[in-house]
Amino acid sequence: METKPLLSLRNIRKEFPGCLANDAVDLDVLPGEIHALLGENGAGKSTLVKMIYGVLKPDGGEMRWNGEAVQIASPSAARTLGVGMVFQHFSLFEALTVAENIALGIPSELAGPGLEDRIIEVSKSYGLPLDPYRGVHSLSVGERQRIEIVRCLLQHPKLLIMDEPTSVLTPQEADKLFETLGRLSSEGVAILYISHRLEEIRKLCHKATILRLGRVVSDCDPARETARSLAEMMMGSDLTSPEKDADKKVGEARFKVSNLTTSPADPFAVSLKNVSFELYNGEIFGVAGLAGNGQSELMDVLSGEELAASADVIVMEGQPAGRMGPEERRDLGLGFVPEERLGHGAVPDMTLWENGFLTAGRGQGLMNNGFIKTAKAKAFATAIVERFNVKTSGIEHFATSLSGGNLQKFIVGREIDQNPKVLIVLQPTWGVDAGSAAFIHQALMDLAAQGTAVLVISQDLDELFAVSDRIAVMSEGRLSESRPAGQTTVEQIGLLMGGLHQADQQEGHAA
Amino acid sequence: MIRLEPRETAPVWLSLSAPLTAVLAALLLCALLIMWTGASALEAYGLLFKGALGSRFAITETLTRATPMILTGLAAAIAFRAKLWNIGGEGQFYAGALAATWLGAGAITLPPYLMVPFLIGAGALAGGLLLLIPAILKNRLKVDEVVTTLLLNFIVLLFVNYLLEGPLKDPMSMGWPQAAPIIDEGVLPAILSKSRVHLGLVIAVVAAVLVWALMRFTVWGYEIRAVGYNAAAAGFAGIGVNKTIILTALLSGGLAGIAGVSEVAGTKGYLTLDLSPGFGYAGIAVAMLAALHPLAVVASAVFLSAIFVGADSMSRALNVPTYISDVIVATSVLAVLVSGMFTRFRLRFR
Repeated sequence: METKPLLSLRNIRKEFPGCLANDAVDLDVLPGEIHALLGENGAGKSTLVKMIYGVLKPDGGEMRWNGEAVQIASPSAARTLGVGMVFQHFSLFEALTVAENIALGIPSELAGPGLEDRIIEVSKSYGLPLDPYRGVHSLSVGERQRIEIVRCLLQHPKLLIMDEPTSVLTPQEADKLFETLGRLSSEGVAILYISHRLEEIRKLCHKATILRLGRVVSDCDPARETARSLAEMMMGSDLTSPEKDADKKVGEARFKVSNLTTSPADPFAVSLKNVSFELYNGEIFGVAGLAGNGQSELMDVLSGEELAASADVIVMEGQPAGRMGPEERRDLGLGFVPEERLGHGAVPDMTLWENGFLTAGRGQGLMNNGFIKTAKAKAFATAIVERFNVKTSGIEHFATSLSGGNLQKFIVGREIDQNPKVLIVLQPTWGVDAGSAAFIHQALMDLAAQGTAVLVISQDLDELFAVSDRIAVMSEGRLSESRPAGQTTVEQIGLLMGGLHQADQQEGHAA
Repeated sequence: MIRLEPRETAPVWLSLSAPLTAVLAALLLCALLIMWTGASALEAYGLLFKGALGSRFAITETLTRATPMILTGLAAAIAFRAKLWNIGGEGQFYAGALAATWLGAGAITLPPYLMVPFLIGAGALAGGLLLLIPAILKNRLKVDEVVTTLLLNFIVLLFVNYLLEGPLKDPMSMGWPQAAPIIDEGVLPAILSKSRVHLGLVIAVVAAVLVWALMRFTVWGYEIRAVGYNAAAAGFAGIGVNKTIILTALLSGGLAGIAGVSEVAGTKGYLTLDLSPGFGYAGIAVAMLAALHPLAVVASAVFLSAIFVGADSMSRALNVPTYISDVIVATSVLAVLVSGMFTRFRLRFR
């Protein structure tokens, strides 16, 4: 007889304003199974596990636990059922000890006397060395993750959800974690495992459910797939190559990055390794790759929020710009559209016209002797609203009152209307409705047609195929060789990623 | 179910009526407290009003007391706009008063039309430089400015204490710890006869208008607001965030320093350790009550001053503790903060 699923979801639906995060999702997790949840950022993985852990409530569908219909109202209800979760970004108190941190996150009857001994017992038996008396501030990221895992294990979960656990670990720490997970699985604990790292999923997981745009596209046995075929399923292989063949790499490169390497202080950040590329007048260069592989870090260094190690790593029209701040780079004719509209691209609590002034004030002559030329600044914003069809009831309204797609059109429009020599955009249509996305794509192509060099960094292959002349792939901080987009297929994108992985392995052997 | 929904714009009538309603609500709440002490709330508020605004003398006293609070209120408002949490208004106030004393008690003599601006400039510089220390520590080392500005208050106060007991002690003071008086050329002249209201009030109101214009029409003001609302976006757009913090610190500390000059050269005439009954701290309440709007700071400072002045005479007559003034101020600030939510959001019942 077949084992009954521990958790089964049927037809789960979750809608956020303007975004269908999960639609008709079915999922079965068997006891003792390590089950991978795969998908690009925004595919709906996090939404799904948050519903299982009781953080979010599904809008429709059915959840069964051991065959019985359940409604998980809160994380504590989830924990009572036997669901534990290790989040990607931990929430620990640095000033407290390991044991104190654990005591804060578990039911009070478990947190009583003897907790330290129980922590030592659990950590020993699962190979998770952890000293309950140490202060958290002195621990490495891997050790901090162990606190979260031990905290879950103390409550004897039947299902453990892990959100990208290895993204912060060294390879050695990751191997240790896999041993622990194997041990748990053999004891009958089911594990729902979210990760971008296809190789480790192939090694570790018994089953994989692949999500794309909120829907399940495939259930498969990852051991029988290749990293490439998994990546294709995640990205969707129904894509066709664009009709583009003219080589636009003519003349001198306008913008040049050579051997850009970074070593970020933030343990969650990806370090860039020898990234080199050139941008030519009138072309759109697309950088593909799954999110979290160094794209935002690349944007930080290109925009000047983070400075490069030396000036000549980034050269704009022959001028070394690696040590310039954002203001100086904009003065050189660079324009940027960041990833987070509300966090980086706009000041939500200011009006729309003030947000237009934000990056255009200097270059567009909207100021005079330290005073804002209010009428001119408003005219600039009005022009963007009209040209880019931004739906708003007025430029005096707060930026935060616009819908995501409309604010994005405004931000992209603000940069395009300044006619930059080089425009660098990150995820230009993330979370934007299809109509606005098409509009933004057309605007980028029009800009390139006027001679601007455009760099589009995106994880959306449809988008890159729609606009790019050349495509390269980013993976784990490396950038591949570029290919003319017209001759590139999704398979070749997979190959480019594979090439990067080989380079990594060779380096590993040499070391 | 009740839901909060963001408004697209804050209508003018609401921005004006919400804080006024909030203050009324606060007065009603405090009426309960007054009645609890056994007094009649109506009588108490009547006496409070009379004590603060009931006579020419009362009004001029209220305005005299409001003068430094307008300036420290502006200091807090401009700093908080940039999310630079300057709790050190008290220290900057004394730094300004100290600079005025050091230069104005005989060290330098200029004709009055030069001496007064000179002392104000010196006091502003002293206050600004004092706040520069926490601002640089915040920029360079991410040291929390709430802690550094607050603790600097005590350092400055103890330093003033030392100076008043030692080097700056006036030999003519008959042993009291006070400094020599500001020379006549440096004194801020009275602007109303038979009252203590002096030129400082005019300076404070002009400062409020200037700060309002700065925030509204200039690039500097824009940058201060942008950094306060979203430093990440401001930095990404090319605004020098650290530079803006430094500028804000100089302006904010400078305004608090001018408050110190105004008190020492206008109201009192010489520096003592009790020159300020907490004007620096009161500035924070003034700014919050004004929702950080520079022009509203003037009204808010007069209101707070009226409460403080009026509560004195009320408590003498009715035996209600003067602490009630602090309670009224605190309740008003809380009520105005809540009312600020209603100008940004609307309630939806469904």
